Amino acid sequence: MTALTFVLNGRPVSVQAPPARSLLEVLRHDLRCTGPKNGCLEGECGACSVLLDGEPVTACLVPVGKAAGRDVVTVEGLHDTPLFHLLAHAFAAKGAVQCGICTPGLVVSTAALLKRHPAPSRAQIRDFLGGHLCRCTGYVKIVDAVAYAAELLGRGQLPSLETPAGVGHAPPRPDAAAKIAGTARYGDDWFLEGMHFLQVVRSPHPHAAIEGIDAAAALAEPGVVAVLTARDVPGVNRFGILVADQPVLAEERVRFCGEAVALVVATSPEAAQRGAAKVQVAYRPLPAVFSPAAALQPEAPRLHAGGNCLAAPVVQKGDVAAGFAAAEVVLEETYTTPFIEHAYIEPEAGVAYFDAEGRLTLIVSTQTPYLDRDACAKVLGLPPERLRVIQAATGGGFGGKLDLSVQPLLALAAYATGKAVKLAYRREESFLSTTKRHPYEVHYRLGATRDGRLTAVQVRILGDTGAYASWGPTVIRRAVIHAPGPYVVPHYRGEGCVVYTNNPICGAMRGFSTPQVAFAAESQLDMLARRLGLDPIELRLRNCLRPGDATATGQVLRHSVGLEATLLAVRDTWRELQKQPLPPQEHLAYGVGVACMWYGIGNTALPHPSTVRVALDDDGAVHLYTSAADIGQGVHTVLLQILAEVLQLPLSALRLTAADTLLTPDSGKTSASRQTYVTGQATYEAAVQLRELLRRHGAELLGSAAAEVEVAGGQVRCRRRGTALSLAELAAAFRQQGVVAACTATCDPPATPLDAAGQGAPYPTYGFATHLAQVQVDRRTGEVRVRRFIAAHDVGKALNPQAVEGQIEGGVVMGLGFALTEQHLPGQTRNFSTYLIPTFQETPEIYPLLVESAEPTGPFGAKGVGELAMIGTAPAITNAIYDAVGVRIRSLPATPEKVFRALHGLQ
Amino acid sequence: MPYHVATSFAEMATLLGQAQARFTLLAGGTDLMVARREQLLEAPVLDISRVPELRTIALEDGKLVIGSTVTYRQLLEAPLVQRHCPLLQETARRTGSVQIQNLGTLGGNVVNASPAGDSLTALVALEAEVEVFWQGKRHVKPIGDFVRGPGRVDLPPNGVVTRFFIPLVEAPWGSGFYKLVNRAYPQHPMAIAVVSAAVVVKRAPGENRLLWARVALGAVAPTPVRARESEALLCGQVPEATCVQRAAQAAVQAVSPIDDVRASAAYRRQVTPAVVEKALRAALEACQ
Repeated sequence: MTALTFVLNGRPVSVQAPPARSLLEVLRHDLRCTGPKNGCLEGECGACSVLLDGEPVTACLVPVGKAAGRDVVTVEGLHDTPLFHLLAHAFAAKGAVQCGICTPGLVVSTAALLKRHPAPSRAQIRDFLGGHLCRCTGYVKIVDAVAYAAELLGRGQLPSLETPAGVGHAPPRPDAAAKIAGTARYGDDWFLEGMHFLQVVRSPHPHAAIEGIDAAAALAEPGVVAVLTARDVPGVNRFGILVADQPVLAEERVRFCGEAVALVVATSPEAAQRGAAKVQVAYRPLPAVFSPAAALQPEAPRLHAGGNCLAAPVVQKGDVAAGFAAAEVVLEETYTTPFIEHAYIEPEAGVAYFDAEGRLTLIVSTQTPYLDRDACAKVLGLPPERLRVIQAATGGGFGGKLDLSVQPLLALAAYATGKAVKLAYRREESFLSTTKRHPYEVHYRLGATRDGRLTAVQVRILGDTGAYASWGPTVIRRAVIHAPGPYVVPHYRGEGCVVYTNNPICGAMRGFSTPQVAFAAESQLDMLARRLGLDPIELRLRNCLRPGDATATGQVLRHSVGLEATLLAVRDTWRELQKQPLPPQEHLAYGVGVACMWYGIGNTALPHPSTVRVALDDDGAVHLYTSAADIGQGVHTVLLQILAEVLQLPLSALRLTAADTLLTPDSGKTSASRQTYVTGQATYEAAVQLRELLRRHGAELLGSAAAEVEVAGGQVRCRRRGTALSLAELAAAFRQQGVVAACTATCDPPATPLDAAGQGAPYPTYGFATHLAQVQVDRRTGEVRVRRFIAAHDVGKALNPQAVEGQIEGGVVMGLGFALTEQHLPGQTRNFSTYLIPTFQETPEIYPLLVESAEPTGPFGAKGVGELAMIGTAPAITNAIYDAVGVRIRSLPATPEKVFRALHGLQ
Repeated sequence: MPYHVATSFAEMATLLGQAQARFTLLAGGTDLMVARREQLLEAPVLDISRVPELRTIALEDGKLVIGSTVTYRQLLEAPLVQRHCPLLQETARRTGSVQIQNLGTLGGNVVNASPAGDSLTALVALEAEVEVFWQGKRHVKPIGDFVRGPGRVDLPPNGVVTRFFIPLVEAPWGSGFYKLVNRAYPQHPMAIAVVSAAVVVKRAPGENRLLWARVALGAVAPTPVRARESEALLCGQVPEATCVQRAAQAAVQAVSPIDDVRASAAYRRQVTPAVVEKALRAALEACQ
């Protein structure tokens, strides 16, 4: 190996590396330059973009030999330029950063764009940045930021980023600067002294008995330190959210392609890979089953001791037979949806090591540090306190990082070898081994009167949960609760069943199975509207839940039921588009569709408390401690805004320690759209407690009555006398007096268990929304393009309207993928070239409309929005396709081929 | 493993002439770094992307001559290509991101020989010739003979594609391209073609009659293919609506598609006429 020399960020560097190794790997691994991110290694995601002789390229496709003698600039190389400061300002101010994994690459490309086109149009921005995938933002705010940056460039001055911090404002995210600069450390960005690397040996069979594992050849490979198998697991070799049925490393058999069988620990990633290739596993293939229907047959292979039906919840209200007897119209159809991959741009990654106190520490990309800690402790047979889980910067989650992936493998390897270890999945490994959205078959029967009142709904849902349980039981429960839609349905019966198969494991994904059932429900309502000659908004208005109405589980909703307002919010646009439909050109047809949605906030019928601590630091700063994981959605910003509002402080007077099981109290999972609502309320309560404590003690010190004293502007002030103490002075006094100025609050919103008929109040509150899509369909090819999208959401109260819009835009674009392009075909879709998530160019103009119907149990009236944002997108689009060309798509995604076949009456 | 960067034609020729083993030739690297990452680490590599002659675009003897390592970016920016061969610009615009366009080369797209290769399909419609340098000599052959099947080209070990010759057409003529993809945005560059068509038409001066038409189809056969039946129906005709439709319909006779992750063979066959018609209409519109 000869030394290769090139100029990196203005300085010559010399590396010893195989010249065919990718520039990305050399930059990250050899030069520890972590601005370029490893998202796909296929040139499809753009996260590794760097400038090569001034032009953007994906570093993963450049053999480092090609860079020899040339000029390479990463985001780090831009730091000292005026353009970077301008871009950093624009990206932060416009909310263009969520998880941030795509941001450094975007900044690099944007720098090149603005050099070529100093005043680009929005279309030019979309085209130039088209090679960057973002799964969080929906791209809208990135285009906004780039357009704004160009505007600032023209003006030649940088406005101040000082924005009000309180509720209803949009201060910059606390982590924006580091994410833009590429200095935020994600799971794969940690490099530890003497670190070893892991490679997982995975099953090539969907179902097989393991007859033996021979590691001798692997252990003989230079650099390989250990090969671990199930026998090396010291504790319980099982994990799972509700049903612990998944082994960390397979024992006597494997149940899906990609299941972990052995773990190689080596001194370099290459050695680990070579070692893994030499682990000999003797498999005896077993009959496998790939569909829920087949898996329920008596002769099907039994995948788990309890049989193949994992869970079969029922919700029963009223008497459906009577309801259908009263119906004048009955519609009955079956809908299907595919496996969906989360496709966060950061694959799963992390490190593990023993700290100086002998605590096994994991720094991982995750949505739930405490669950990770407790699950890994069981695997190792250790008390949870012997472990510490710290959330690394997390490049998107969407439910996929609620499950364990690298965590138990890291823990096991560190425990078994005593070494610091790293495991970062490649994109293919992420596709192969991690959880997916459940494919559903939804059989939907709906009855209504001629004037459009629903009389009965009966739903049967069959879901493929794959090889292990993961979140399957709660996912199906939420489906049967939400399947009737946000409507008054007097008679309802919902039956669900999730079934084990030899397919990929299905778990939690944004919407938690409500997007699948909403696709069915909202298609049915569209059909009903057409059958009855009603406009689809009017039909929904006749049935929508209002305060005082009962849901299908018999829960009477009292507050924050803003569905009607969201329908009214889109009605004008609907009418306008009806009056002035776009003229069809040649083979192009245009149509408009709507869909409503609802989503119960929080875990289904289970407690899910959040605890936070708020303390006055010695310097007078107010410090929030929470384990709430910010995965890009912005919960940290919102929590700080709540503190800022209650204590009347600027963001600069606040401090945050987050998502570290050693330092922060358990704020529950980042799931079920619960963090703003639950952890937000806990933060509100802790902040109020601290404010009262400061007032009480401040009044004593000031010699005033507590009622005369207020906390504002970093002071405790007596309104009557005008005397004041700064919070720093107060903190000093507390130290002398031994006062502990720390308040802890726990919020556990009310939810009741469901009875045998599925009746009860499973959620404390619900979010509601209405989506409207305008599409263009090419009759001759089946190509669909979404032209315009309106998303009206009842969010209770928008604590940060920009962040709410970001959630909505991102959700809509994820829903666009669900509607039109995304389907994971096990064994065939392995990366972003075959699994198509939406891009800059596919994103329509999106208009979020915020409806605020205050939720009394949430902070300042807020409730959740994260998952809602994509639930109704697909049916709004497929209903629009029907409006355009008169064909009903009942199986997602609506690929050109599917639309074409429907148009031509084929199959 | 050794990684050689040739900086001149002579150096490239010498390295190829002296080679003991078979070189993996690397131009832009955008295909090799995805499909053959391991091979690149194990076999000797010859990087030909810095050979000046292979990076030039020129007019010679009534032909547009394009070096094999000319990038998409160069194609998009070259006035000669804009004037004489906008079809290659159209396909370059529809191929990959800006990052890929900065790296990927015309020669790479041809040698990769994907049945869906957009530039390759265009070169078939353009009746381009391929120059191969092998054992110290240059050999020229029609592109249709050079590309043999999916990923297979007529290139001997340590032979290298050096240039493409594209015959110029006298005005009035026009070209068009359409790429059907599985994305929610027509002709999206970040997607592989389900079916594509590249069309060149030549009109009789001062008349509406077509002297000839060339129709090439991508992603419907082991290699891009010519739709000879369509071409015959257009030759000598005034391209009115029924003529265009009949010609587009006839393109199905040229296809032999397969089922894959993107679409079924049946669908490819069914939409071939629509795709041809879109490309053909664009070509007729551009025909000045």
